[in-house]
Amino acid sequence: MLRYVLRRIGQAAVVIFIVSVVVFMMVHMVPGNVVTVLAGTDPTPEVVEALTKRFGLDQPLPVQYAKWAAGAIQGDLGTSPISGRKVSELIASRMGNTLLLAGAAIVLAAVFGIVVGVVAALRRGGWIDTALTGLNATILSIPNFWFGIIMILVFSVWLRLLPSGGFRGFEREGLSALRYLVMPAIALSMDSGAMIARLVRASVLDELSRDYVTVARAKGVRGAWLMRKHIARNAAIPVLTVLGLRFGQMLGGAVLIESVFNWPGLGRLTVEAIETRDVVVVQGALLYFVAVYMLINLLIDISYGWFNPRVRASVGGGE
Amino acid sequence: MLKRLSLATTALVALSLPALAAGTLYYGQTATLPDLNPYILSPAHQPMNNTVFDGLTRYDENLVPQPRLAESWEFSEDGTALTLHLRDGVKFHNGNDFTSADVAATVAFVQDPSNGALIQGFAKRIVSVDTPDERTAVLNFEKPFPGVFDLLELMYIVDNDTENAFATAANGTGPFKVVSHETGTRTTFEANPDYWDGAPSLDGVEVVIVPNQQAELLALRSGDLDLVTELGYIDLVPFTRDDRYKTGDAASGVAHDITMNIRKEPLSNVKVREAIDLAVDRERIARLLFGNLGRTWCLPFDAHSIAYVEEKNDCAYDLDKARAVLESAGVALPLDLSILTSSEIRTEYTTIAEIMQADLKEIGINLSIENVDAVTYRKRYIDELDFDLVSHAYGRAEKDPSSLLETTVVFKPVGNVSGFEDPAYTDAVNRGGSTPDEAERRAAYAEASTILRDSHHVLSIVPRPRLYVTTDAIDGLELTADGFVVLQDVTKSE
Repeated sequence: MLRYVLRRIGQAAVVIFIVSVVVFMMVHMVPGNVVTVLAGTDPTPEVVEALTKRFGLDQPLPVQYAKWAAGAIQGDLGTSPISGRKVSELIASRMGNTLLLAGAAIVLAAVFGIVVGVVAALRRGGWIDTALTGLNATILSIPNFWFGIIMILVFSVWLRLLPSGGFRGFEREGLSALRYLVMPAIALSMDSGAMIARLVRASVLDELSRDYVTVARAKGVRGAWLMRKHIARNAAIPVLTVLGLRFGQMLGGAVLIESVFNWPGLGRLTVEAIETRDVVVVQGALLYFVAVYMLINLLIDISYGWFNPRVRASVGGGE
Repeated sequence: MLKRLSLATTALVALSLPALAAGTLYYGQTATLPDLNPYILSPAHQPMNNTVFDGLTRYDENLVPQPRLAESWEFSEDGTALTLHLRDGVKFHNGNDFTSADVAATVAFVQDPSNGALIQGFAKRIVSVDTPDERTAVLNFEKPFPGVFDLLELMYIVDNDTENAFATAANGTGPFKVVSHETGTRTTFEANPDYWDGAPSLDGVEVVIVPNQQAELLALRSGDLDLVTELGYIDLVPFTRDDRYKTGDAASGVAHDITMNIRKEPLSNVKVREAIDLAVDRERIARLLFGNLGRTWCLPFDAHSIAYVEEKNDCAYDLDKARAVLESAGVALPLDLSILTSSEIRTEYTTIAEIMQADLKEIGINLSIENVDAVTYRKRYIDELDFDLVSHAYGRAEKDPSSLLETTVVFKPVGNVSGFEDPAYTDAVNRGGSTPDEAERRAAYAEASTILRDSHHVLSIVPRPRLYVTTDAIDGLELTADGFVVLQDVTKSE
């Protein structure tokens, strides 16, 4: 298992290097650079020249990349020319918020998906199954951010129960800061929850038709015990994969929800950096996304072993 | 079941307890405030500028400079020096005294091109600063500089003894001090109780970034925000009919224009440009963009400006005449041209382009619209000069003509993006900007205005009003000639 983990970490380092080169090249292929942004609408040639030199943009691209990479290896991701702040500081200031939002959303999605999926599967063909399947299809066909706007309208504007957006942090407001999390987490979880519900329904139905379930039933195993000890563990593997992938996507792809709810997350930081051609921030943020994404995949792979002994044996070099 | 329901209700109510501070103004904006640099002068920075900093002077509503950190001033007889008598007893937020050394340091800072100040080009007209004593600063110019007050208003004074990096901190003399700055999220200010012009009524100000405009307006309606200033007309209208809100419009110092690249055929032909000018339906554009607040401009100046020429403020929409002029231009029809625009900067840029596209079709010009992102837009029209027409907006439109005509990329006599050069125009702009005599200035700028209208390379279309909405609890909001907010006298009732 240790060799397997070390091999995966080595693969991650190679992927991170390749991604950093590709991102660096792509950002430089887009017209304009950070000087175009900073020099404003009526720049003088002296300002453009001075800023170009100040940020090292007059140097060849390989030199610029090498300088960035040398710093990154030593833990220095550079300083944003736009905000004047260390990239590591900017990422750290957003990382916790993104993890909190994505974590809350994935928990909600998992709870919703598993409950709805199992209930629909157990009531297959009945009106409950039809209603829940219809609900899932409706949720999947409506964009998350639209739910977000509607929730703000209902819970913030009409009922005035929850804040319309932002996040003021636990250090300022203690546990009541959780009220900022309620709507964005629900909005972000909706399509994942619906997707997981469909998957759980299909997996549970598949397992219910297996011989071992028939045998277990014939032996008198019933209800919750059968579900928990036999069906749930086998049905969990595909669900776990999707949960992991969705969590990885939420870490970097919650930009619309972050914008609608003014949530200070990493997705927004990255998009703003792309818009302002803030290459060092884009590089740093993507490095972080790749690292987290690969870590999640590694954890999922390891967790397969817990759910399925056959996987554990093959990873450990057995069968 | 009932117990669970009651627990859930209690939890929701506990989470929804109001937490916003009563004496704090919550100011919403969609644009991210990247840093606290007062010289970037972008719309994103404007809530911060007069909140944390002071200029030496500030225009009143009649464009007469009023004292701020300079209490009084006089020009030398030949107009090449301006002696500023500085206010006594002013302190920076860190407790340092404001002196003439800070004026000299500020001038040096904005003149340094590596600091990227938007006013760098204009500030270069100051050749030296003398500081005979702590309360006197003398700005020396090569030539008389009657438009200097445009510069002084935007040259926010910074402390000579502070490292002015502006990443997360800023040290000014203004009515509010910076408490914290979280890039892209919020910036918090607290009242400066020792402010030289009287302590503000508000306890503090919080600038909240809400990137999505609809979410921002919902936050205003939910009571999470008190003030939103960068609105489109369509978004403003519902608030005008609701007693719980106050709406307003003010000069923004910004006007929309269409600039043509006259290096390119057939736009090098003045008759083609004139035909395009005649085919621009300014009335329709003004009405569509700003409703009953819309006004049209033919010149880049309002009627109060010393550069305004009544007989040249004539740009009637006349498609028949446009067709005739285009025919006389001797070009093969239909013409294929493109217009560069960026909805990411302002949707109005593209609306204007779309209206022009329909009108120009009527006279035999096929106008294709190139709608690109903000950085690509600037790169193409400023750096690469890669455009036929560009839908654009210029700032400093309602102040002294010198700052508009000498520094903006569309109007400056040399190196403008149009490729327009005319020694008579250059001479008129230079004379207008360097003579203290008002009659001479009027005459020089009349020449410049006439040349601008006759060359049709930059078409002024509509001035852009700054539209804002507050809750009915807010009073005392002021805006400067540039449309920057002044929060010093704002009050927020319970």
